[in-house]
Amino acid sequence: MNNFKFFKPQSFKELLDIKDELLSAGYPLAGGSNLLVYIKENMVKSGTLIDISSIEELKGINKVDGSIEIGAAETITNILESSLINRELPFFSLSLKDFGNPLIRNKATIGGNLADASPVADTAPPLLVLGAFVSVVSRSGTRKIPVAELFTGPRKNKLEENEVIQKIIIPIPLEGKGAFLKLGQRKGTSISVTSVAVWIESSSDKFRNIKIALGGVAPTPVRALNTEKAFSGKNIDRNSIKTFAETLRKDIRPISDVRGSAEYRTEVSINLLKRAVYECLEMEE
Amino acid sequence: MAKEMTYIGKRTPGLDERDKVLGNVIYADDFTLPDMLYARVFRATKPSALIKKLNVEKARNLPGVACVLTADDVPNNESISNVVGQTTEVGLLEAKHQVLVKNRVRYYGEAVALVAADTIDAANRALELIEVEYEEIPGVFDPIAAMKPDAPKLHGNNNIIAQWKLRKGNIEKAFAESDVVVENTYRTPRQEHAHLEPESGVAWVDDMGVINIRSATQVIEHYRDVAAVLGIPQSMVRIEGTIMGGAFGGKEDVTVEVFLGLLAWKTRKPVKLTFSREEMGFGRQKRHPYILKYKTGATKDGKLTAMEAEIISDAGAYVYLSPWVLLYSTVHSTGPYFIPNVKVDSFSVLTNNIMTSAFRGFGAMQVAFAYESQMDELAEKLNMDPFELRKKNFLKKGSETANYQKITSDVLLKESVEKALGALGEKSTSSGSKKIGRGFACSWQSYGRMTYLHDTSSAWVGLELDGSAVVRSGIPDLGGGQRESLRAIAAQILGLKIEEVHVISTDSQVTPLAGTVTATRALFMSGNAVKLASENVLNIITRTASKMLKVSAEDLYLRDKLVYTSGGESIPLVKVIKECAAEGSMPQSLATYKAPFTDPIKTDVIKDPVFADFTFGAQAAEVEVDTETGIVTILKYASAQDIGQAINVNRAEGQIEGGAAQGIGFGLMEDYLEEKGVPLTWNLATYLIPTSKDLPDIQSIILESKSGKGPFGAKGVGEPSITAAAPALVSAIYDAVGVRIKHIPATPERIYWSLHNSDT
Repeated sequence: MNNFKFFKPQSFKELLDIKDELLSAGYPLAGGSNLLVYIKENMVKSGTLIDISSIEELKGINKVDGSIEIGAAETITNILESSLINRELPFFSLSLKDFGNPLIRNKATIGGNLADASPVADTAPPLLVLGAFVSVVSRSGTRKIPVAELFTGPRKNKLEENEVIQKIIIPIPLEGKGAFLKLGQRKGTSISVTSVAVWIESSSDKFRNIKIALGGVAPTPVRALNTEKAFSGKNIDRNSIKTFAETLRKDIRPISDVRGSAEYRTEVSINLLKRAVYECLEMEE
Repeated sequence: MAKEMTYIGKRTPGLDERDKVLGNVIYADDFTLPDMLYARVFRATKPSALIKKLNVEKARNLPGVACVLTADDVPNNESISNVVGQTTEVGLLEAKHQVLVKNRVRYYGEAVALVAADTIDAANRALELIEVEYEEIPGVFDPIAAMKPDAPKLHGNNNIIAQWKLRKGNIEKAFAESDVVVENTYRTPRQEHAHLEPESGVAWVDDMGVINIRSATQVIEHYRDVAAVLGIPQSMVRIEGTIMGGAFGGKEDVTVEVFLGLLAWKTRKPVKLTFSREEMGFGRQKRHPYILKYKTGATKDGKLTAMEAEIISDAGAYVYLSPWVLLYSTVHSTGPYFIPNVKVDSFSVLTNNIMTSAFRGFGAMQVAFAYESQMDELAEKLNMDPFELRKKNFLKKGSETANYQKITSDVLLKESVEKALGALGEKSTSSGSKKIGRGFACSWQSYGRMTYLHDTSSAWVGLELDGSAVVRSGIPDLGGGQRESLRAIAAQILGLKIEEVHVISTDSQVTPLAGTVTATRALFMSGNAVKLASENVLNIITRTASKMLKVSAEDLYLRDKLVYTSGGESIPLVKVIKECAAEGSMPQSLATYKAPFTDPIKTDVIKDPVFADFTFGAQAAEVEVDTETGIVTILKYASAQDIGQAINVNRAEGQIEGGAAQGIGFGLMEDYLEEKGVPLTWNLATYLIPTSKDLPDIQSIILESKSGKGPFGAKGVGEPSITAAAPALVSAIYDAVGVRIKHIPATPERIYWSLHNSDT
């Protein structure tokens, strides 16, 4: 730890200034549930840790113009317990119930989970199907990036070196229902082998505006656009759901590692997708 | 002794529980001394290589670094241990060990150099400055490949470092006459102990020149190993053990003690060494992975006829306790069943994988998965209820095992299965792709060391002038409450309140040596020793009191610091103690308990008794298997063990629950993976153990036959509690979905592919 400096900005402006100065050598530190592991495992060897835990501009969970805005430094626990989210978008808080474990949820933040850009980031698939954005800020201004464009590779994101995520903006869908299923190697403190989020905006007998996203089956969390197309406009019929779900094979490119083989990830992703669709449609399995 | 049981078989809260919960226990790493140095171990990052160049000069010159030691600095770097009973068929009779790598690295993580520095940061920086050049040499990573004559050799000219045999009856004839025969190959994983507390200790040289090592160890007798490496008298090394935060066999071999002894000796300063969690992954031993080929026959009415097995264990790169683990496997390989014809050949084989050694179950666990799976498959072929089949074949008191050993205690297997299955209650119902299944498994497991080792345990008990008692026993407490059991036994015998008894334990120069807290021997051996010593003290008291009261000593008993006659008359204990002192017969005793002794094993065919006794038990599970993901959810779980006599019911249940939990991990998820000797799962993010969300409510059922060789008829429970878990789960999975997992852990992916017929 002797190769690190620690800096605690007293204002949002000071944060943007120091980030502008240090660029990629400045590591925003919120909960530290990823960063401290990287340091311990020598994946991050030196730099300045910028403590962002008390910057007010990175906090808050609010409803603004039909969207929910969540400060990047809000913890997963705060999101899970937010009465606003539980009222307006219970799907999103429900989807976080198996995130890490209570200790990790108390420290980890939504901004950190997204900035980390892990293929298995558990906040990503639900945010992808909800069409969420991140609002990123630097000394030179603010811009909005769709979560769908945020990830560029494993642990790589689209942020410029002087930018930080300020908040996550989730448009509240006018109708529909979502489901998020996560499969790990065990039930507690598990890293996803695969995860599937589905949002179905349908009140008729046909699939309309179905959105599907997955984690753990590609270099980044991904939307399954071909599969969405396979479902779109088709009659809702429980027997054909599995057939449509098979299209996933075109959308995902999992790898084999200690958590599971590519083949297993593919097969269970299809099964989970089928299940998630059933859950959205409130169908018995 | 008090007339009634005051502490034996009760739920007495331990005096250490509160301290553990409050964080008051001073564990090994909590201890510091002024001017203490911090040590780190430099470890190899190749599984098979020669060291061409090792340069530690830059590290030595780093400010703050007190010393850097390599093999050249170790007085006796190499040691040799002999394996009993081995014929010359086995090439390597002398098992070599090295403290630090001299020339050749045999596994990834092997210790190459030691660093001690003023701060842990300086020690870490020094590690980065050590320069090593390797020349990789061919290694062998599969035990079957390692058995071949042309395989690269780890030591000597044969990688097989131990073989044991069972020979009974005529298997060829018996198989020919059997109505059904089942034949299978099973594989078990390389399990990591994953104890909460890492290996740790602090060493210093005192003003008498004695090296003191305060460390978390199951074996304070390792002071002898430290003395041997340093070439100094054993009397100049003292190991003071600590209360451990778990060990499970992981602190049975030397861990930090020799490194600490070397560093303290060289620097003459206090030194602390604590393994990191990652180092616990790649720097220390695991449970042996096994390959078990089993063939079992039975008649159509369900009588076992014959069993043949070939058992191969992966010993890793050094011998450690592999030959003895394999001996356990061999003796226990039949399961708790009478089989008239048996042929077993077992081998322990060196590879360039991480070394393997002691782990709760000690070889009796891997075979349980095989023999119980065989029983289930036989039952199915015979169209017989699996419990019925077992009942026809259970060992009984007086039965002879395949090593010609008579069972001398009660065998409550039938009762154990009934209780465990009964505790599951009504069966849940399957829904959709989620299928419910139930299974159970039986086990036997020895307690106490191998009898040819002539095991003994000593303890001292004495009364203070105020009537309170002190117990001194060398036995370490690995967190299971070993110390508290001794307290309860002394309090029971001497009629004292438990808080009036103080136990001093685990100090090689202060407490009488009691042997190791391993092999499920602590209660059996030290419990008996403390009971003996307490009874001796009681006799001194009653003898003196009988003269004072003018009644026969047999008529006297102790309660609440009073010596009572059977007629209800009493005098204060303190008065009797005063009288004892006046007579010069101090109320104190040093006693040694001797386990049953047998002759040394002479050949590799085991045909004599090896163990003092066995604990028998059963575990049962109800699981839900998700056929679309392979995920197993344990809905209900029960473990019933005949432990002879519970000393403290809370602690005994703790052992039964903990054993089940660790056994569930072994059965469902735990496996330390390596690829050509390079570890893949060396932290707890990748090496998975069950969390509270993965474990069911484990129902612990205690049976008390009072037939054991421990104090008050107790048997051991520490290891027996783990043994039957994996086969019970695999049986339940089979019941749910009709596939039998033969390669554990039964991970979701393995179950998924078994169901969906892929060859992955």
